Amino acid sequence: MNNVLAALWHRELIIYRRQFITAGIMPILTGLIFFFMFFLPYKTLLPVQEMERVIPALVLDSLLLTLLITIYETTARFYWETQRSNGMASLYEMGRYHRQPSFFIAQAIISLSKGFVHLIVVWAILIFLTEMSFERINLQASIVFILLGALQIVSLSKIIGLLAKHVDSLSKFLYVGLLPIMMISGLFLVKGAPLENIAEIAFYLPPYNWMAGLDAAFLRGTIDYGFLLICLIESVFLLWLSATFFHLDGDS
Amino acid sequence: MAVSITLRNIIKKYGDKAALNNVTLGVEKGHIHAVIGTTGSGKSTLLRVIATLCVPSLGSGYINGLNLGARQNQIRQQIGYMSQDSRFEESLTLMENLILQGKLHGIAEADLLNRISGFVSRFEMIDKLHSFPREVSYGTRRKMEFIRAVLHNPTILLLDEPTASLDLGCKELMETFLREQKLRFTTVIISSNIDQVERIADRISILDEGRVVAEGTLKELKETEQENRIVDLTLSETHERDFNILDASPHVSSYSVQGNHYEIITEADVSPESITSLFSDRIVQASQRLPSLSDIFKRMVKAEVIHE
Repeated sequence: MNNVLAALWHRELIIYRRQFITAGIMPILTGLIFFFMFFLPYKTLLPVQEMERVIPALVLDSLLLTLLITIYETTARFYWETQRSNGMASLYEMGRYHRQPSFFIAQAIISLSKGFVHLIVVWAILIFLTEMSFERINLQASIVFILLGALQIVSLSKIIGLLAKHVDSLSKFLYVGLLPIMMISGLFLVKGAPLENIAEIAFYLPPYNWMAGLDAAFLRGTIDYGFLLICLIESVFLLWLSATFFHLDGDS
Repeated sequence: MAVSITLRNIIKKYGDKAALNNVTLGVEKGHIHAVIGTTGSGKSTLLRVIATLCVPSLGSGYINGLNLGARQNQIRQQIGYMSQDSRFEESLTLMENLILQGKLHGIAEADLLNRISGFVSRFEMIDKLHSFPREVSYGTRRKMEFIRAVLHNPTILLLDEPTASLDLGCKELMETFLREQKLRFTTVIISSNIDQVERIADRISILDEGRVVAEGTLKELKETEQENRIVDLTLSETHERDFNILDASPHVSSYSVQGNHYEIITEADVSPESITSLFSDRIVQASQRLPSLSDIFKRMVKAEVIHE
């Protein structure tokens, strides 16, 4: 495991450094652009008191978007390149890491780490720009939901990376599948009371049910154990599903 | 000598088409076994089966005593595989590619750098190490892939057209390495370069439409053809009726045509004069020789140029 993690970490860092604009700046910028896309019109339309309730919701949405894009791009693209492309698949297979738990876990750790680094950067920028208060945020509960959500995105990304026949399909899955579902979940159309605006299906739909729990923790400062239970069950299920796909893949 | 690779009655089907059809193969430890065949004859599939990258539809096999169907991961540890296509992480330099592979194989950093340094100086590539794959020539990429295949000290080396399209210097470097280090590896090499196969292979298998149609040492294969001779004729001009003449001649077993050059297979006791007399007024050059591996190969596979 140490060998694999060290080797893949080394690879990721080099590629990340070389492709910093697309791999680093773009996901962070996407989250920030999203924030200002909603923040500026709301600011002209809503009174100051109302804005204080809207800003945390927009910050939360920006963080989710950053996390989703970073983890998805890192995981799905990596899995496609190493498991599917004619160029590299055999090479990694001959490195004995095809269908190995160490490969699976090492890559998940790298994706999660990158996702969280981007999330913290976006969060820090937005706190600085909006002077948002931490008082109402339940940080412990937020971290739990973010971690579970990130695990769900990693699992889905692995499955998509393993299923995609062409590299173009990866973007299709993101822009035609994951992002629209995230957008219509209701989280992104908030005005004051985000939780009430979430479409009912989002409570149960992985990987978005975790947002509901995060929403409560982030915006209301409470932890919802019902959401936590659903979120845990779905995270475990998705992880199991992606591990099974990963294990079964490769018999050509 | 111990057998490193054993395949028994391997069948690999893609849909209804059998890429490998009842292939049985044995490669002794430390031997270089060459596989030759026409395009689509199943050579690369055979190599992928040995490398455990491709699961056979039927049949069994053992690599260094490990069951091909059950011990893939242990087998892969012992294999160095160089595929036909050029495969690199394009965002990493050649050096970084080698380090990545070495680390994935668990080689300690100091040892890894030593090995890389030894190989790159041997293959005359020190100045290319920090270039990206897209910046170097095809020959350099192939040499790098070769180094990557042997970097982790495998016991089995699988090479798919390692020297195709390479210049003479590159070919010689690889061949010399294989000859010098042959006892360290059991090598299966796919090559369309018949001369190279004659130079380095201990045993040769000829594949045609997924079947092994001939197998043996160069000497053994040539012995199967010792009853035959090849008469090479160069004519000043060819006529349509030449085919009728050759078809009608009792001395001609088969023949192939390339421009003004006729390659005529006869039985050993047939004198060359009995062939040259058929075209006496148009002969530019004529000679008789024993069949080469190339002739045997052409006879074994269903090449269109051969007229039986």
